[in-house]
Amino acid sequence: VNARPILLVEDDDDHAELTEWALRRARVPGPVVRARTGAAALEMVCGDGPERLSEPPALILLDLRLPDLDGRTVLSRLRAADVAASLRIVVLTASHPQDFSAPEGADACLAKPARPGVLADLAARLGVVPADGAAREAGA
Amino acid sequence: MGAFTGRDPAEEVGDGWLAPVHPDDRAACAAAIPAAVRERAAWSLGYRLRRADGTWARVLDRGAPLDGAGAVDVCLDVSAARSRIDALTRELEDLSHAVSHDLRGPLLSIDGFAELLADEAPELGEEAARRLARIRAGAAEMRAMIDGLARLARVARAEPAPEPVDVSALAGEAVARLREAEPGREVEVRVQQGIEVVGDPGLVRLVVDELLANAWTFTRAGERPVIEVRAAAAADGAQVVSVADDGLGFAPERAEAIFAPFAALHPGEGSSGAGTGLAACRRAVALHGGRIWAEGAPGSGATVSFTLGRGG
Repeated sequence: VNARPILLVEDDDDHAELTEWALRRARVPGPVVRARTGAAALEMVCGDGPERLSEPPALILLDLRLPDLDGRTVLSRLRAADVAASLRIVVLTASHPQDFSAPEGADACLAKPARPGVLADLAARLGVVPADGAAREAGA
Repeated sequence: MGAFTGRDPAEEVGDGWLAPVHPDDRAACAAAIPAAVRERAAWSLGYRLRRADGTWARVLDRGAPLDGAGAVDVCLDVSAARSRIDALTRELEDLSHAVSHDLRGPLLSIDGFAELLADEAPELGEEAARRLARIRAGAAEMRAMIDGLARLARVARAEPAPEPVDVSALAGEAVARLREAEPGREVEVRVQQGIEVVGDPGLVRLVVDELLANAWTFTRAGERPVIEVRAAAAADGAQVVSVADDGLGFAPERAEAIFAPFAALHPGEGSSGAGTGLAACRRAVALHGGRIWAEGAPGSGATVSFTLGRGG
């Protein structure tokens, strides 16, 4: 299986570990690559240095609270990138849903912690998972 | 007074005293003070008064009728204290907002790893599973409190956009949701039809939802509990909406305390905002210039009433 990578943009190590666990449980294919800052994420997706991934991520999970750049800024720069058309971007938030509205350019937004069942459904809806029933197996 | 407002005492006779009162406060003053004089009662009223230099002062007017005729009153300029209170209140609201957001992160780790552990290690045994469940229950309780705090901060920052709101319809929807959540409970709810207030639809909904959820929760002990939603006109013409139950009630000396954040919760009893629901209601009502109060006695039910002021 040579699936494109999943990029997790998250500065909090605990939250990153929980999201990676949820991705594994949801059987979302592809290696998980982690960026701790907005700048690192941009380098990986659309930079012109050695950090750039050999192929654009199939899915980007983007926490909006980052130590360097505002997550919304990262989002708009990703959407301006040459590979933007192939990117599926899901923003992650720890906020209460009522305190939060999905920013423009996001394909979906997800409350942390991401539950395996919700992640599986979302990945399937965004076409990241081949329709082989993995989403149903992971349960809700 | 003359030095303060720059007016001649002769100008104050008849309705003249109302001239330096802020136009938005004039109607309330014109109603309250003559009524107090007529009823031989003391008054205490806050309003804005124009200073000699044209700026507005926030004054506290306290007065009482004299034995013979007329009345005497003192207007205290409380502008400085008021703006200090307003600044502190804003600071506190900002703090609630920040705290409620920042507490969520670590709580998410606690709950998330407890879930992960419970999921990945069934071989830990029953006792460990029970302890993990208790960690998660504690986390859920704390999340409810944080959500309540965040809602309180959100309400405090709201800017009401008043329009006619059908309270009877909102009450019906709230009851339907409560019944759906707990289909097994038999509660009789009587909603007076045609209750309409003028208020911000979102904030009025919050108040109606919260008062019904409270009544629903605290009637738990009753055999066949009855909740009633009704409206009546107050002495000053404002509409008073009441939600009455025949449930647990509360000690009369707590009638004020239950509106303080986290004070409404008795041990082992729950309400939707985890102890911040009535506090959110009080703020929502105050934003409309109205008030909310509770009446009750232990074991004989509680009635919470609110008015959105003259306009409502």
